[in-house]
Amino acid sequence: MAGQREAQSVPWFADERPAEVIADGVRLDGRSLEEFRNVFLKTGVISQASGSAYAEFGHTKVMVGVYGPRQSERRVEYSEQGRINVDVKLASFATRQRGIFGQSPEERELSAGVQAALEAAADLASFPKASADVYVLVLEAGGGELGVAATAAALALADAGIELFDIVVACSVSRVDGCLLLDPSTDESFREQGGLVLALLPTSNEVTQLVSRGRWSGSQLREGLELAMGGCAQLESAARQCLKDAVVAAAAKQRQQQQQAQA
Amino acid sequence: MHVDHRRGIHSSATVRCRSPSTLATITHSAAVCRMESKYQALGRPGEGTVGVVCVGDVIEPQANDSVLRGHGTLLRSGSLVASRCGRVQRWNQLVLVEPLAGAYAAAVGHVVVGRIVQVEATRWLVDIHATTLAVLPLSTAGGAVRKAAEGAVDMRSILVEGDLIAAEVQAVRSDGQVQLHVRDAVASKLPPGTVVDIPAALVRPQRKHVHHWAATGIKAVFGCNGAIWIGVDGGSSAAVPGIEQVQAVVQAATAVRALAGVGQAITPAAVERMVP
Repeated sequence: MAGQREAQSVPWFADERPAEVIADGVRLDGRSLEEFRNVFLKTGVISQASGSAYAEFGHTKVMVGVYGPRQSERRVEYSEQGRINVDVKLASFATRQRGIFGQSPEERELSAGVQAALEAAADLASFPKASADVYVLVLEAGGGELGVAATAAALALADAGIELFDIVVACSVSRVDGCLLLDPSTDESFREQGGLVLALLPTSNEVTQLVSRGRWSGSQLREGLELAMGGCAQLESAARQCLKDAVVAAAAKQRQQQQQAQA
Repeated sequence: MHVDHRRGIHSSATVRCRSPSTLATITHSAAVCRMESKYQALGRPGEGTVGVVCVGDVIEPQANDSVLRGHGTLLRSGSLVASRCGRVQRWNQLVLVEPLAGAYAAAVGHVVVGRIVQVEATRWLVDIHATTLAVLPLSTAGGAVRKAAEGAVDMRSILVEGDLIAAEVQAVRSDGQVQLHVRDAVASKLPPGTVVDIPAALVRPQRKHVHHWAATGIKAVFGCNGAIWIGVDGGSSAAVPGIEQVQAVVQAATAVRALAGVGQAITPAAVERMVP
């Protein structure tokens, strides 16, 4: 399978990945070790969807559309609770090498990861017998796709009006040469000795998902988790601001319409 | 109870409490309409934009027993927290979060335009753009009941998958299932036309949901679920509409889409102003 892939796809970029990602406490893109990339979040970007969100974390660009809650298909067994079905797709131009046809193992893993992160946040009892379909499209995979996708998907669920216990914020941490890097890019996570992705409900600090890769000692893991939780706290304010802006804009528009209707 | 048909009442004013009995719900809804003029939506004190909350925002720091928890709220460690983005509404002791743009929430008395998606032995399942499919039982389908008395009823001879119908919401069960009823199942099938899908919040329950254009012979049905059907008036489903009728239908549909695009409430009067 791997041989087949090499034979069929042509590498996008000819240059190698950089060998050194940290120099004197400064990263390749000029960030400090504990600095987030530039974050852009916006909801309501897909008009046909019940809810949608677009997230840009540096070079990672993710678009999420939520459809539903709508009637579950017949073959799905009866359930008192609702369901959230997540489908993550990496665009063929999103990664360094062109994606293969069909769903790759990476996409399956991302779908399962995002689903686990979201299920704990949504009040599934509020839409029994129905299912909400979440479609995530990664337009550019610049690092930390799982975290960005989970955050954006939670915002899209909130935009769709699905009852949530809380929003989900997620971020990744990489350990390169003993240094902990917050929100790594693909170049940085390529050189990592250990990495983790943490998704949590910010108000109650409840962890909905924790994925760790590579080798972590006990103390390193503790430090990594603390850094990730700090990162999530930063991200929470950005996510809430995004939701607030959307809600305030909608409320202002509604009041304007009411005034016009009365006039 | 014709509370919903009064003009000017927002569909979300029909409030459903979580715990009280049906009697309390009816009393509450009637009381809500009386109170409507006196009370306004109140939000959190000291908030810039009054009453707007997001998921996870605290509405009431100390929610004691006197606070009735409505839709869109959660109880977390003694305080009332919003589980939806929207505007906080307080009606006496009831606190709820009204979503600014949510899915269609059916209520008794709403007129909806739906499409048959499944034919079962004694009922049809109708897609009304809500969370789950609505049910149109044979027993409530008017004229078909008389046929049933003669013997086995062929459901498909009345309505099949893909047919559009205009129906009224008869009941909303506790599990959210919507039950519809029509005066006559065969007559409720809508003739050729087009359906415009707009946000359900723009179509409020009103006195008249049907508008006729006598000059061109077309009709529009304003479904509270955001589906507006516009088509020929009174023709059989097999009749081919003439070119003038098609033009009139398209004109009316464009008018509805334009109004919805600017967020204007869709009423027969509003469309009439644009398409006389």
